[in-house]
This record gives sequence, C-alpha cells and structure tokens, in this order.
Amino acid sequence: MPGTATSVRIRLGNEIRAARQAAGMTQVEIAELLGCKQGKINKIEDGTVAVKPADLDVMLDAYKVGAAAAELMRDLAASGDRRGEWTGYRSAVPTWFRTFTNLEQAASEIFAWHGERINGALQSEHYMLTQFRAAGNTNVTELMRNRRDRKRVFDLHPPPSHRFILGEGVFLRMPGGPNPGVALDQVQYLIDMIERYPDVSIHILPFEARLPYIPNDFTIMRFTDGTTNCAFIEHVAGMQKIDNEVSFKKFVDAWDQLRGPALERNQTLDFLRDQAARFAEQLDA
Amino acid sequence: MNAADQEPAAPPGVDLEHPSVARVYDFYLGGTANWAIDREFGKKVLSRFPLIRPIAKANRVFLHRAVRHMVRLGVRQFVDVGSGVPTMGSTHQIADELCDDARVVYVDNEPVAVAHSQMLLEENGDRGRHAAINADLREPDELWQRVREIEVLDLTKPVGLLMIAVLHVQQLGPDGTDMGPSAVARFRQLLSAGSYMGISHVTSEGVPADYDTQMAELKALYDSRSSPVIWRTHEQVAELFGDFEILEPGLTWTTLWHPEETSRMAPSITFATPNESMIWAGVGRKG
Repeated sequence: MPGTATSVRIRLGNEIRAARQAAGMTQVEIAELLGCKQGKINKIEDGTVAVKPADLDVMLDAYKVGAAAAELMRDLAASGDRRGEWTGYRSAVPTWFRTFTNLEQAASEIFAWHGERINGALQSEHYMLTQFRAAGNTNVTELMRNRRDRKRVFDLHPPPSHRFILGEGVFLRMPGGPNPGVALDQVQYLIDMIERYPDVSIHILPFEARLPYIPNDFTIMRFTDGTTNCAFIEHVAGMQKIDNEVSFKKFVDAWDQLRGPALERNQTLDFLRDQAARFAEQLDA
Repeated sequence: MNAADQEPAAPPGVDLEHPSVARVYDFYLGGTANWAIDREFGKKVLSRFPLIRPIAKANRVFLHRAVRHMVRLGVRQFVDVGSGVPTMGSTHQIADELCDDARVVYVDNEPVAVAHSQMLLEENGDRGRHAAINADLREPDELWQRVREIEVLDLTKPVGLLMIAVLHVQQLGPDGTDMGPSAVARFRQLLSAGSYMGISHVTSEGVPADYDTQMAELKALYDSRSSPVIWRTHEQVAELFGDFEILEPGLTWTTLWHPEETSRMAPSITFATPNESMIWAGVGRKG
C-alpha cells in the first residue's frame, strides 16, 4: 500500500507515462488533446502535480488502457487526495527539496554517502543551526520544526532501513569553520543514533581506505510500493534525481565499493568515541 | 494566529557559542534539549557543586507547586517568563492536571528555547489556550503587548505571572547594570488586581557555611562562560514583590514552600537541611 500521497502520485505518474509510451504518443500530443501545455503532462508523469479525474479519463481513452489497468489508475488518482502527505517542509526549503523529503518518508531502504558534510537526516540540532546561521538563515523555529519532521522518518513503522557512510572528513569540516563544541555535539548525537535505532547503520570511511577515488555525495532510495528506485545527487543549484535503471545500478555499485572499506558498527563507535574525547579536550582548552 | 506570527520579524541573534542557562538547567534535570557545550559546562559545575542537580529539581518542583496552588486559588491564566526549554513538567501540563480551562503563555528571549516551547505545544498543547512567544522581560510593556496580541489571555483579568529562576540571571540594561528589579516593578503595575506573582531566586543568605566557596565558583563559571548571574538577599527578593501580599508561608526555601502540593510522581529530593536548596521562593498577590 503506497505510503504517502506523493508516492501515490509518483506511482500513478509512472503508470501514466508507461501507458503513453506503450501507445506511442508524445507528451505534446496528449497535451493538445487535453488543451494544456506539455509541461503539465510532464509534471503529472513526474508525480509533482495531481491529475484531475476528467483528464485521466481522456488519457486512459487516448492510450487505450485496458479495463483492469484503468481501474488501478483511477484508484490511485482517487487515493492521492488522502491526507497523510508529509507536509513537514515549508517555506524554509526550496520546492525541489520537498520531493526528496517526501520520497524519504516512503522509501523502504535508504543508503547515503557523504564525504565532508553531515547529511540533513543525521545533523544534530546545534550542527543544523550553526550551518543555517552560517548561511544566513535565522528562522530558528521553522528550521527546528523542519528538522523534527525530518527525523520522524526514523520512527516510522515499519522503520525503513537506513545506511549511512560518512567520510572521516565530515568531522574535520564544521559549518562556519572549526568548532569543537558543534563537532562534539554532532559526534555524540551520532553515537546516540547508532545506539538508539537498530535500523540505522552508520559507517565511517577512514582516509586510509584504499579506494582509487571517492564519488560525490549521493543518496539511494528503494521502494516496495511501486515507486521507481532512484538516486539523488544534491548540487549547488538543486537536486538531481536519477531513476534510469542502468544509472541507478551504478550508484548501487558505487555504494558497495564504499561500504567495503568502511568501518563496521563497533569500529565506528570506537572511532566516534575517540573523536568525542578529542573534541571535548579542545573545548576545554 | 500561527506560530510564525509569534516571532518578531528579526529575532535577536541566536547565541550558538555559549552554554545557555536554560539548556544547562535542562541538562541538570535530565532533559534532552541540551547541546554538548551545555553538557560540558554542566558537568564542570556538577564536579564543583554536586548538589546543583537536586537544587535544580527542587526549583522545578517549586514551579509545579506554585502553579497548583494558584490554580486552587482560582487562577486560570499564566504568563511564564523566562520559561526556558520545556523539561520535567511544564506549566500548562501541571495546570491541565487540575483544570481544563487554564491558559498559558510561555515567554523567553532565546529563540531556541522559544522554538522548543512552540514545538512542545504543537505536540500536546491546545492552540486556543497555549502559546509561546519571544519577548524580553527587560521590556515589560512590549512583552505585555505581545502577550495581549496573542489573544490567548485576557490581561484585564487576574494572571499568575511566573518568574522562576530567571531573575538571578542578570538582566543587563543599556547602562550595563542589572535592571531586573525595575522590570519587575513595571510588571507589578501592569498586572491587574487579583493577579499573582511567583518568584524563585538563588540566595547566598542563610545557606550552609560550606556553600560559600561553591557558590563563588558557581558564579565565576556562569559569569565567565555562560550568562552573568546575581545572588540576592532575602530582603532583596522580598522587595521584588513590592506591596503584594505574600501568601503563606511567606518567602522560604523551595523545599519548604507548600510541600502538600507535591505530586506523587515528583522526584524525591532529599536535602540534609532545607537551606541546601539554595533558592528563596514564594508567591505574592496584588490587592
């Protein structure tokens, strides 16, 4: 059963696109039939906007979709109106990021690799506020509310499986410059996450790892609700979603490559405790 | 009115560098809203002054007793100034145990504390009766106006004003001196007749002899690394109440104030002598 209204839309969008392609029609052609722009068709197929039942009927007819499939798609369109969409992120973050966080709530497995920064889901409150303050955002309540909503993903039932690989560098580069207070807080927070959530694995990738090179940060999501598996890479101008099967597999392979030399749970805990001691000492100085 | 409207357009810069009094207090009470810098500071304090923990708990328990007592006396509106981060039973939770129509506004001038309070209320508060706002007690008129604008309380009716463990944090005025007492004097004027005021304040008068060094160290730590503090004598604390009628048993140690108002679920705190609780407290009523 699809998790959120968004994943329902995404799934429906996938079905619609598949039906269009099976019928050999272009987005422009169906847009003409519906009297709208191609961009809107694209948004419907991406799952960013909902499709009106009347428009869906036109599509189902034009694509000559079979009765069973048509019924499924009508059901999906109807259930997409359900409340339950996670509306955690508000104006504090750009729209493109909302897709990512909505999917995050619906994924059954999440794998993420970050080399020099702690990714949002794992940031401690002090780290998060320092990062946003350094970037000029001071709307504290909004930021904290967003963060709390995002953390809910760890308390879902059943909990998705979360696996994070963090490069050793994440502890060397703090938002706004060296900051033992923030670093200590973040390290302690990670230790607490590992101890508290059995479905969260965190693996440190030490600098000693014998890898030819490391890839840019990415996040992989797998779904059991029909949503296409995808990878995300975040860049300065937005976020890129990759759901092409061939490309997706390359990300999975890249993950496996990093996972090999990354530290196991107990080694990671030891590493983090050492870091904590180091930062506590710096703080005391 | 949604939460975003409760904040000033440009909140005072968030201090992300120093341990905050509220978060350190949260650490003493076993809360989770504190950061590493607060924990490290708190641990340092505890190493010099282990009784800080029960002292903090006894202060928190005084807040609970004061709220219960005021509710029993008919108070249904509370303004909790310097409310900090919600820990170990907040004012609205205590009041809601005894009645279903109490209204509470939490006020703090620290944005992270305010955010925590707002989020707590979103989880288990009642939008019609509870709110948390960012305002500074050094500007009583503006604070009062903000409370008025929230439209949760009727300030023409009696209010229980709570200033618990906040006045011993120096309220520095534009001339660099503590203006706590003058701010409180203005609050006494702003409160309508029949209102109450609850205050708890660290005092160095009448504490055990061996507290001298520890309290000096405590002050030195807070002054240098967190927020500057100020201890007051019993008389100075009494002066904060102006001509309000002090309720029985008068101003006293937190542990001695209406112990019958303690809930069965309160942590048991044992001091060898009441003066070990270090905090002078009481409730006054405006005629």
